[in-house]
Amino acid sequence: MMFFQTPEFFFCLFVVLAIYYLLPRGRMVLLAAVSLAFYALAGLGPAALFVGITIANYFLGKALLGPHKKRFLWAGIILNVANLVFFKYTLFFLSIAEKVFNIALLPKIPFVADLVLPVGISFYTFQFISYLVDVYQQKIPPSQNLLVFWVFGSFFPHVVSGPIMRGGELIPQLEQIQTLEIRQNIRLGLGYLAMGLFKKLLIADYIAVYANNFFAGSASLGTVETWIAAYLYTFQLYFDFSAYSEMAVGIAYLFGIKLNLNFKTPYLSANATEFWRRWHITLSTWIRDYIYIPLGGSRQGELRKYLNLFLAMSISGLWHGAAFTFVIWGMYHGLLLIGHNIYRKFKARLGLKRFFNSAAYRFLSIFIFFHLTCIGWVFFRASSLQQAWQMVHRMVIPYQLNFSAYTGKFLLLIAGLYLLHIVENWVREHAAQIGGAWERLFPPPLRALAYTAFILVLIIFSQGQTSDFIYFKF
Amino acid sequence: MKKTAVYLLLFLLIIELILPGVVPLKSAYDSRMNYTVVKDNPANIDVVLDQIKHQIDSQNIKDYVIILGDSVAHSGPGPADESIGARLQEYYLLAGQKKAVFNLAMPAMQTGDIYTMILKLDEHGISTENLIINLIYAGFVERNPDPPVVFWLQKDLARLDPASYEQVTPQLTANGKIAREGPTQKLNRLITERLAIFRYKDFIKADLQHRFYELTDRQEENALGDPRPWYQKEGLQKLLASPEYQRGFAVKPFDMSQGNPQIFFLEKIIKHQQGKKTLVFMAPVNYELVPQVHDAGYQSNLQTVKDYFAVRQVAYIDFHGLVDQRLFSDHVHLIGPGYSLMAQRLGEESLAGENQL
Repeated sequence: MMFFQTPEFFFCLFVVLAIYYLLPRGRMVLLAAVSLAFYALAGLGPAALFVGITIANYFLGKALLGPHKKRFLWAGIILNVANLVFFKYTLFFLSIAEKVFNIALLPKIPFVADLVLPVGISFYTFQFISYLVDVYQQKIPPSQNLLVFWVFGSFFPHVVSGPIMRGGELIPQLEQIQTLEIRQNIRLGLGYLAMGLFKKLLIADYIAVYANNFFAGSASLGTVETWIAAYLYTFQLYFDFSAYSEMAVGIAYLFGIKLNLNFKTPYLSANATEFWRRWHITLSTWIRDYIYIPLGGSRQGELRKYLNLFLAMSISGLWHGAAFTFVIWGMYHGLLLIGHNIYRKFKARLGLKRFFNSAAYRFLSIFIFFHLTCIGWVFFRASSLQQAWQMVHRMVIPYQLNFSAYTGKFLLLIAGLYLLHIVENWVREHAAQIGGAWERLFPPPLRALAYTAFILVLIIFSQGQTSDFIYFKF
Repeated sequence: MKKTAVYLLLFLLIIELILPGVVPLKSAYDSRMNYTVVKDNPANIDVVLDQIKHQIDSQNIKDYVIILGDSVAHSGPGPADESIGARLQEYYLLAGQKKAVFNLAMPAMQTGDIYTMILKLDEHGISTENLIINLIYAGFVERNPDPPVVFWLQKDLARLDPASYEQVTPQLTANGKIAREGPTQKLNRLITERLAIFRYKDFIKADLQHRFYELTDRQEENALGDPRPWYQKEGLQKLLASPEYQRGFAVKPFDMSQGNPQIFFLEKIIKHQQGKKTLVFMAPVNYELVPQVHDAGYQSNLQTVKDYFAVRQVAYIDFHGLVDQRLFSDHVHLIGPGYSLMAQRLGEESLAGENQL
């Protein structure tokens, strides 16, 4: 596996970009080959499987124009889901079956324990399903070029952990790859890449050390320390995953390709509905379009809507990992969404519009919802349900409540991280003005000096060991 | 944008060229190797050696002693200024000797690492004319398969002496110390070992940290652990009762054939050091914490090692019984005055001029 934040990746990226710019006619072949090589670094077996699944989806997509299109759609969905379930959930489901029926299944099928989760399988499965559904619903035509379709599925910046792209968003860009406008996107690409590297190397990797230590010793933590553990992981996860996503978007821009953004400072959300519009956006919109709406969405009454929300979020939880901790996390967010829907109705009846539109109410809502999110992340991070329950219990019911200089330092750090989140939001909102002022006020040598300093800081202060991204395991 | 890119490349090139000359040696080496910096990336040892070579050349140092060994010679858990290297340097100064001391010992270094370090010294053009080598009793005990006979420097051994590497490959494989290097790791190594910014990054970081401590008037902690004497520490006896530690004091007669990887590498070292000054010392052991020392088998093993070096005419000091029990920090490491005492004895012996192979 080659990680984005490593020097070898940048060396390869530089070489590939040089060829890409020099040989516009060979761009598609180059991207196809590079994406295959990038994926194959994680293992030849998973790469062969991925190629096979891609080819199958390509022909299934074409078959959706024919007379038995519904059958082919279901065949495609079953193929993709079965592939994911086999590699990701076999062990999980067999373990449940063993417990429920009190039988020993695993010793009879020992290969299950050795199953290795192919890199990016959860992401490419969703991408292919949405492609087939979109073709079936005639939102997009089926791809007529296997090479283009392969790059749609495997484009190396997003193959491991997204963003999950729709056929209608990515395939048309790939079809015009020889004439794509690249120069204008380079600045944007480098900007996103720099932001991602900053978040990963200088924030997420440093927080990870403390978050891991707190979670490892969670049994002995009091209420304050448990909250610190949850806060730290909350920020570690955000900075880690958004770093990956922004690097993916940035790298794609260097090739002239636009990928969707996955995050919009989610911890400034005032409720669950807003949160899912700002957190892992390409997944939440996928869940909305291909699970929640097909289940009936909000078209079949309030109760059914709540049930659909709960089911969709539970599936989202299970998608993240084959463990009950993830399912509970998904259910918890389902309940938060239902809770917000009910509260919204209640709020409308109260009629206190002025109060609900005030800054104070917004601030209070963000504060409360941020803490509810932190509780959810405990389930997401905990190694077992028992650990998660114990930690949440201590967060809710005071236990060995003590504030010390030690905890004070961490609380200050967490406040700093939140401030950084606010700054990021401001930068995003004013990116164009900041970029313009930067170019207008500082001459090229000064800008180059600042970029040199930034590169040096990234290299010097990156951790010795290369750490992978949290979402790689999903 | 083009102009900015050109300036950026120019600045990066300037940094690449000037960096090796501006990173201060203290961040790489201060009376001993900076263990914090080296432990996560053994390739940093080459940077230390580069810097030492630079110092030797720029200051025209002709007479110097290199210390090799494990945590005892590195002098853990205490601070650098109380280490054997620092104390030996003081001893030479007081004795009116213009000898420089470079302590390149590192915790967990095994005999295979020591041999590889000697080859690396040759590679960097640093003389091995005057060596002091530290061994421990546990190094001779049969490995099962832990510990690996080369703990840090497998890649260097494979490069510098492929035949020896091949010889000990089964032992290293059994210890999980041989990881197949994939294409990405190879490319990473090629880049990070060649570009100065990557080579020096850990040292720059350490130096910046050092300056930050100075600026904020805080004491920088360079001790590796708790430097208090052993009798002030709780739980040591319980810790030493674990099989992992007990195995290191086994009283079974040592296998002194080349089938024992320890002997295999000692023979290599002795051969390499023919005609050079080499002083080997056996680290002492705390009798109170390791009662096996009184066992006849243990004593017989110590005698066997002594005879081994005597036959090969290698200067050898066995520190068992030469260090007061109160000077130990744990079962084998010492507190400052203990290392001082050892340094003095090593200084006397090294100046006696009887240690030429």
